[in-house]
Amino acid sequence: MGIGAAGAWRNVDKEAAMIRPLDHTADVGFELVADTLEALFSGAARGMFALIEGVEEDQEPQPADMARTSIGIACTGDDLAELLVAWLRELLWLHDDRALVFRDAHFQWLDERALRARVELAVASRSPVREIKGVTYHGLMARRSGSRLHARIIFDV
Amino acid sequence: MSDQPALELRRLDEFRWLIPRQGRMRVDGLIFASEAMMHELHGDEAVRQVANVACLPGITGRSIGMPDIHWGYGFAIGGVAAFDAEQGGVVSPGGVGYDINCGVRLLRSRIDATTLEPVLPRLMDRLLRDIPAGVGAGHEHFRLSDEDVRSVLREGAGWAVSRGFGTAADLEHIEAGGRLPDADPDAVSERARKRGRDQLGTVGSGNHFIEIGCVDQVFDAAAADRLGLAPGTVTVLIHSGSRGLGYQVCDDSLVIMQQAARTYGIELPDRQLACAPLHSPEATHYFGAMNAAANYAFANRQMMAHRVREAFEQELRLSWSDLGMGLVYDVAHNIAKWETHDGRRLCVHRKGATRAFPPGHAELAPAYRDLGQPVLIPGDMARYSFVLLGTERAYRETFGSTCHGAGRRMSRTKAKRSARDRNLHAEFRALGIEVRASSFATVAEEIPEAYKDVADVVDVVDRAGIGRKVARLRPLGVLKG
Repeated sequence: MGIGAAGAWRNVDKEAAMIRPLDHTADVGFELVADTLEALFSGAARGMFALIEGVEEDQEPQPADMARTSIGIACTGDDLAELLVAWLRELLWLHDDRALVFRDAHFQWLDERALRARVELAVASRSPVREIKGVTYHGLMARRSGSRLHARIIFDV
Repeated sequence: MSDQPALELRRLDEFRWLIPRQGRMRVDGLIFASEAMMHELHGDEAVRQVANVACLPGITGRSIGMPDIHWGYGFAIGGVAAFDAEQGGVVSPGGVGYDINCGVRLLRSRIDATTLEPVLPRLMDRLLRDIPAGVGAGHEHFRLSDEDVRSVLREGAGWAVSRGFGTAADLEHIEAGGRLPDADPDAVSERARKRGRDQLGTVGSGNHFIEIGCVDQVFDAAAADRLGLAPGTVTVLIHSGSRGLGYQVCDDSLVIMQQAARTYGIELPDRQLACAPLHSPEATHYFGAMNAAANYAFANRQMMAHRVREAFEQELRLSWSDLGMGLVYDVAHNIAKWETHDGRRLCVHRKGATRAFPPGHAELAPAYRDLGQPVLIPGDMARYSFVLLGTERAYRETFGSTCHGAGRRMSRTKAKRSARDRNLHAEFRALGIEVRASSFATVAEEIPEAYKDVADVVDVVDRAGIGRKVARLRPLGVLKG
């Protein structure tokens, strides 16, 4: 599932998270809206790995994964934005250390300051096309806006 | 992205633009740019970021933007700022960046570019095979133990030389001798050290590269001669940094600094500017880890230079010393360092900026002390790169700093869109440039038009007096990640 061209909103998650890539001069990033925390967090993970796997604008079906595994993750943050960064940093570490890519998440606990989840990760059959050096705090935003959740994340590439 | 009011901007002269102290700024901002560059920057987040840095505690002088400035995260890329510990100054990992000691190394040679032409395709194939490049690429058969990684973090380029990757003479031509003091391997997390085990001597991806080029224009014949840059001779530029180890050090430090900013009551205009007072334990920890990562980067470029020399030896059947492949210089682009300016010890952050010390500076290598510090400014893949020297004016006005490259003007998404349906291989070959890459997706993001013309950038620093042009290099072959 790609994240599309800069400026356009599209679905990124089965739970109706919507994503819009940001056109940053040097780096890459996106904005997200979602109805639930679960959709926000899994949508952000899908968005980050779409960038890593280079499927932003590629509508071709992706080749099947070579293998899958499941790992438990727990993180905390002083607020929703920090928790979102902590979550993505853990997934990025698993990618850097073990070449695993995100496929799905089952949240056992998730509030605005802590999460515990079982994540499904894959050994992708295709090499990653982009190196994300870090999940930055620059322009970081994650907040409730009416009944929806809104987030913005920029990555250093 | 900013919803704040527009910043007041005042033109001082042809190439200097002042952001007068306003709002929460503690000092003025100063941007070096031509009128055309400033027009392009109008409304850009980079200008706002120069002003944001001016809000940090203990900043002294001015918050500075170089002509290659562009929107970064926290600090703009192309930003310089100095902080005084005695005035509550801070250190900020966002002022250094994820790729700690991302920098450039230049090798010269006595090889005439025309004699290299017939073997260039084979040479480029060999470099692609012998030097890992690409997203997360590491060595398959060269993996350091944790103890070795710790030694690299302490010893820098000297570690590589002690194991036969280069000579002691190389160390005399590297900023700080290729080893920053006060590096603390214990301040580098296990995750970071693990990431460093198989990436020493690798290019990486993004804007990193190894470029075989030649000297195609000389502006200062005497200085070029001192640097061994004879017209028409082959050169090698290596652009890379501390790889995953450095990214992890930055990442780990940012978490600590978020907390530190709260502990010390530092109000941040951007969370990526998280920082800690220079005398705090958090700052000491960061310096220990950052200097260690910087040493890893010096060793990384040392290892790659050795592999490049070996590749030339294989293809030209002469030793690298017979080919005259000495090291001109190796300099950091992303670093924070303690330096003395006007008698004060300051912490100077350079993020996408180059140290440019003038002739006579005590920290310069003896070989260059009377000449001034060589400054290496890579351009894009198709046009040219420049060699400059540091100046007295840079020392007075920019804490001894100048630009670092061309500066991006097009987002990666736009660049990829622009490259779609084009035969980039053929385009580069038509320009006489052999390109090798582990993935052409990287090349698409790095197309020449994605960057400003580095000649314009260098022209500004030369005419503003914060750098002095010596020579221009033209690419012949480029290895990308």
